[in-house]
Amino acid sequence: MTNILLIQQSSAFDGAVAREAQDLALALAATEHQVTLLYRDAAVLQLLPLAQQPAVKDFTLAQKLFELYDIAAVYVCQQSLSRYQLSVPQLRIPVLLAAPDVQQQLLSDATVVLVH
Amino acid sequence: MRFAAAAIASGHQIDHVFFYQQAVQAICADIDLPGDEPDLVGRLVSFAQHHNIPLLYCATAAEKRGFSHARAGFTLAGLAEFGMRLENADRLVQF
Repeated sequence: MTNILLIQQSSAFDGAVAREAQDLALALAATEHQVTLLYRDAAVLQLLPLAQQPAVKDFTLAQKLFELYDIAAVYVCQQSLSRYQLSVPQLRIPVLLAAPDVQQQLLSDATVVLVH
Repeated sequence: MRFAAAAIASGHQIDHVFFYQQAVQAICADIDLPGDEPDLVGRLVSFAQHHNIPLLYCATAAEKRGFSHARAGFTLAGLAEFGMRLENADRLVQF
């Protein structure tokens, strides 16, 4: 088992980056790795429930599977959330807020860091 | 490829190279390069074959981009295989 920190930085529908990163997170969790997710920058928008159905498949709904896949924890960059004037209760799933020192600790604790 | 060569020269072993997201473009067999442009993917394939390094690509990522025919030297894989192979690696380097 590898302790993996996967950092999401892109918004949900800005190309395929976010969707493929989420697929990768689920696949790594399914192969018995300990996966921690950190959403920062525009990626915090991935966690917002959509007001209306997009023209493309809404892969963000699969965030509800994180618990089922034993994703260890989902962190959100505190500063990024503030920048978009969002708060935790607005997000689709329970998350942990990560101030810069927490993010630094996450990086230190991880064996593997993936950035998307 | 320069990083891989340097890693091997330093005594490391490379378990595999995995192509995901936009990097799957490298596997496309239909790219027709002008004669005066270097075939960098070809060099990578030769390098990998010489050092016995599997070049794996995510089939789903490739197919979604329309790259259904892989160039010789690349092997179809999935995210699950990537996850399982991670057990063999003490480091992962992302480009």
